[in-house]
Amino acid sequence: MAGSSPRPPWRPSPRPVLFARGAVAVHRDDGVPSRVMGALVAGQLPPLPPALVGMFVTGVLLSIGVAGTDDLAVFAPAVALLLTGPGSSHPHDGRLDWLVPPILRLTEYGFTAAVGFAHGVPPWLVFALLGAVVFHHYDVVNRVREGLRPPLWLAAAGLGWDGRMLLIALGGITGQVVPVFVLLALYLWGLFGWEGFTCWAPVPRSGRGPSAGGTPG
Amino acid sequence: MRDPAPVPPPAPPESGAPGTTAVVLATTAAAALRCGDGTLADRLTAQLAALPVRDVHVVGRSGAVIRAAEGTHLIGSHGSRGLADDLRRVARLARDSPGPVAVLAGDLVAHTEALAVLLGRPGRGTGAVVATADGEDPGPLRPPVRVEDGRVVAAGASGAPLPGANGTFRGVLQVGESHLEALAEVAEELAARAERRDGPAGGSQEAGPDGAGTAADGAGACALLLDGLVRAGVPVRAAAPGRLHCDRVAGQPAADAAVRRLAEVDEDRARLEAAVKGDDGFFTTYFVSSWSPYLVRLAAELRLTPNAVTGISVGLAALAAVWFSEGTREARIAGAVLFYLSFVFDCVDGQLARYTRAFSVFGSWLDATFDRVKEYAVYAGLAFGYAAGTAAGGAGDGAEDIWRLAVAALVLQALRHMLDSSYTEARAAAAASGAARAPGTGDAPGAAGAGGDRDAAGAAGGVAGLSRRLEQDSFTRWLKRMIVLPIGERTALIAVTAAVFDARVTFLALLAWGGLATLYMLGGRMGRSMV
Repeated sequence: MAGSSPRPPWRPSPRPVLFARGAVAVHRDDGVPSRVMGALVAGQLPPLPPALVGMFVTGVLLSIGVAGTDDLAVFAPAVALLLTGPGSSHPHDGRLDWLVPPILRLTEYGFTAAVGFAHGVPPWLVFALLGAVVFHHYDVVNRVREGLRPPLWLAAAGLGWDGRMLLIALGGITGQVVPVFVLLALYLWGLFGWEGFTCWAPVPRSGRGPSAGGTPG
Repeated sequence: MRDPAPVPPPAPPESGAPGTTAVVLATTAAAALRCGDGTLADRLTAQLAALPVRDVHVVGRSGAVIRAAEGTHLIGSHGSRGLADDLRRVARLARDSPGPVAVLAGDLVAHTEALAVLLGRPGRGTGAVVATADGEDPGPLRPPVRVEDGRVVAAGASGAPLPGANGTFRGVLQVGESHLEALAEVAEELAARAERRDGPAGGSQEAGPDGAGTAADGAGACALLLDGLVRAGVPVRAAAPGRLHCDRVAGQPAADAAVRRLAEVDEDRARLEAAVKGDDGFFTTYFVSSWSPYLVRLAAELRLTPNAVTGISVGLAALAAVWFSEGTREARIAGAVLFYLSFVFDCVDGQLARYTRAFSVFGSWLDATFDRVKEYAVYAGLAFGYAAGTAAGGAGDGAEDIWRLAVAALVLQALRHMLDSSYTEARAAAAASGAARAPGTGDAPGAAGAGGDRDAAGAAGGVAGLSRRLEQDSFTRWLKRMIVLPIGERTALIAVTAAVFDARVTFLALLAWGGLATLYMLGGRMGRSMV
């Protein structure tokens, strides 16, 4: 046995450091507004408590029927954004910070469904729009599992959970919920479907493999 | 060399991933033993051609050759002068290789499939072939190792017994791309140590670093490297050959006996069994995997690719959704059968990929993505069918209600998956940062081992401990796997409730069972996070 010699200085590298704020934060799917608010507070706010409060407030607002009122619907996403956005720049390394992405999912899906059903959007359209968003969120999960990072422009082009909620609320204010749902569903299915396929299709994967993609973000 | 007829042709390496560079250390006398019309090392080299191996470097004492994967060109060079030279050659390859590096003892007599448990998937990081079967005592040619949670935590490179050993290393080591730097440093450190002892030339009679029996031959380099990598904190997966054989031999009679012993195992059958995942749920294990291997073999004979099978599965699910959307009972029964078959083919594609070793990143994306698309398309089909039924019956509200339930089922399912992946991600990140800190603290390997034991004992309390105790009983083990409503159980639930009752019952059942599963997972995972 070679146990008598001192331990050699090499270090294991079981997992490349892909994501500066931790891989959990990539699952947030923040849009531009949320990222701007995160940049403003420069990571001083922990992510979990405000996200919890944001979900709770959104839930309360939806349960008292805000989704159905045209002018008040915007409050739910605004409150959720004001609360949850600033936490986006904080490292998601707390013991329970992995709860943040599911909380954001529940907030967004719940809001989308509530507004859609309250405004008489054809129910299959609600299902289709949620399907597009869900497709994207699964795609991000699959990428992170392969050690890839979804491009930053995609999160911006996909509007983020905050952008999509605000847009739907805007539809509520202007009384154009159905057109907003149609456009959003078409746009997101097109964007996420096309981008997902071209990212994964078997083309020569120069510099994008799990090992080569390990650029610190 | 014996390969049963139905085994499909060797698969190319994972798309885009460079194949493994293999080093066969044919430095023992046994490597030159006769076997058929060649030597044991020749036999081994030929076997590697069936695996995703880029090129094979055969290092002998009298000469060394490099063979490219196609077997087209041979480059000869000087033979290795001794153990230190062997190790330096490995270090050089580790620095130059674009892909994983495998180190094999030249005196191996192994099933190709036994080598494939490690070399079949170059993308899976670092591992060693370790047999953990009872009754196989460690010996000079099979050094003892200790395996915990599927990882090698200690390896004995000398002849000395290893405390707590529960397996034996079988002379095959593969080092993943991210650990090549560590391999090079380990090999150089060991080479320097061998030189200090034997003199710079290496000497013709090399011995292990501590002069013990195993390492007295050059092929003991494998065991030394494994020991070094484990001590360096590199996670080394223990790949078990199962019923297959992978043995180093020392003399002609032993070699002949080992070659004869290979024929006693049906290699193709073992390969098929290995292709079925072991950790599936109850429904998948008993109602799908019980007969899907026949489909896997059929698909392999028809030369279907895993992606084509994924396509069949998606097509069947689309048909199921269309039948469900019809809304009548007969249509729902047809839909249920189609959905079940779609799920069977969904399992077949992964099994076929493992069986034919045709892995691709695109394939795994296709599989993962369309699993979800199929399921949610069926939700939509069920909702359409129910809505059509109520519209015909004159009850207008039913349509809206069923869609609310469908949306709720979609949201709950997506949420559960998000919880799962987010938690997994957080744990992996925590483990990585923990592993990066650990090497600085634990110095002696003994202390590190004791630390590991203490951690395990500490974790055995609380949620994890309860969970581990429940695993011991077969009934509760299945219950534990079923309660989280895995995809097999979900498929069965959807098919049965849709065929027997209607879409409304299906969604309510999905919501009830899924809600319970969410609470169970959430509770367990929050508990584990707080430890």
